[in-house]
Amino acid sequence: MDQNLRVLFDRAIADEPDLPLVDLVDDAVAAGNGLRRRRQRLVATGVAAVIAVAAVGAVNVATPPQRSAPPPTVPAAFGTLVNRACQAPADETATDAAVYLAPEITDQQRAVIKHGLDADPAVGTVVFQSREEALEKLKKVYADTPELVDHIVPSQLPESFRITLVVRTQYAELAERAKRLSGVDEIIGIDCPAGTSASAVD
Amino acid sequence: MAAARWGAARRREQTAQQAEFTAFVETAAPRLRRTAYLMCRDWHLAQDLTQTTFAKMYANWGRIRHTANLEAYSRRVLMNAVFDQNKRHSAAEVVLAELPEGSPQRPDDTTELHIALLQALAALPIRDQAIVVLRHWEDQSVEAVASTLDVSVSVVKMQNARALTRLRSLLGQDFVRI
Repeated sequence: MDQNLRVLFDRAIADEPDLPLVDLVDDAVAAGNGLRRRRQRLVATGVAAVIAVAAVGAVNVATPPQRSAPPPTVPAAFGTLVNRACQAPADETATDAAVYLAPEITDQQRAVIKHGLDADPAVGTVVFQSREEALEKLKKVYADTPELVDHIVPSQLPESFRITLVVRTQYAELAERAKRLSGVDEIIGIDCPAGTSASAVD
Repeated sequence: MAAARWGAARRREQTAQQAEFTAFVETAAPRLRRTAYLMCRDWHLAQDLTQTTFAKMYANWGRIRHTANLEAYSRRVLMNAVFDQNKRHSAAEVVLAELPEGSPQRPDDTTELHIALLQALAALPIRDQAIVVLRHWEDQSVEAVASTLDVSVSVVKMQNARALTRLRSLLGQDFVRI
């Protein structure tokens, strides 16, 4: 019986069409990256949502609700939230950089910037950091003094692309190119000694 | 310069992972696609299911690449993709093409037996189909099937026997002929 089944199954797949294998790898990489990003976003958004709800509750109890516009984002100050072993902002040479996006960034601008960075020969890796992820980082950095960050909501923080450079001496030129992209607010170089990560919280 | 070396090492590592993944896809794809086809009887859907499987594996590649048995892992991901697809499909279409009891659609002599087998297989519950395909097409042990489907060994044995009995009754005498 087992043998029969095996033979029948063999015959059943005999009409297998020629489907390209090459596309499978590319498609899987693209879709897999999408899955990974979505998962990271879900986690970050979930954390941010809980924090936001808690913050709103605290504000309502402690002070009359403020409906005024949120304070403007301050990328330059935020840029200093990097590993203390690294130097930031770095002007001439940098191993990493944070490309901060304008608060009113459109999806199209963001896509163009991402594409520009991906295609740039000086750029190694490009990782998008959402407002929620930025807040999460901030919370980790100020874990000891949570009252400083309790009332910050994601919309007050800028989105950014965290990039690594192939060669650190190319930073000045890259910064010039990146600044010209529409929707880029600021680019901050981060110069790290070998073996350290630019992030303050990883 | 040390920093540049560090960056280069990281890029090399990524390239190595990418190459590993590509090699895995190339060796595993034909098998997964055929298994998927036997489960869904549609080559294009089988290709989609295979792609879903690889996408899910790529999303976790850094973690799973050193897993002892990537093949077993891929079978598990594929079967879950098949079950998901089946669930969505049955939710969308209220009436399933279930063969009516009592009229087991015996194949006449003009029907190719392997087509009759696939039709009979389609009449089984989806998890029974998975057991039959894994056991008798992928040649997996009862233990391996149990771990792929997250059920006990005795469940696999029982449902496999039940499925084979059902197939036999659907295919009738022709089954012995081959």
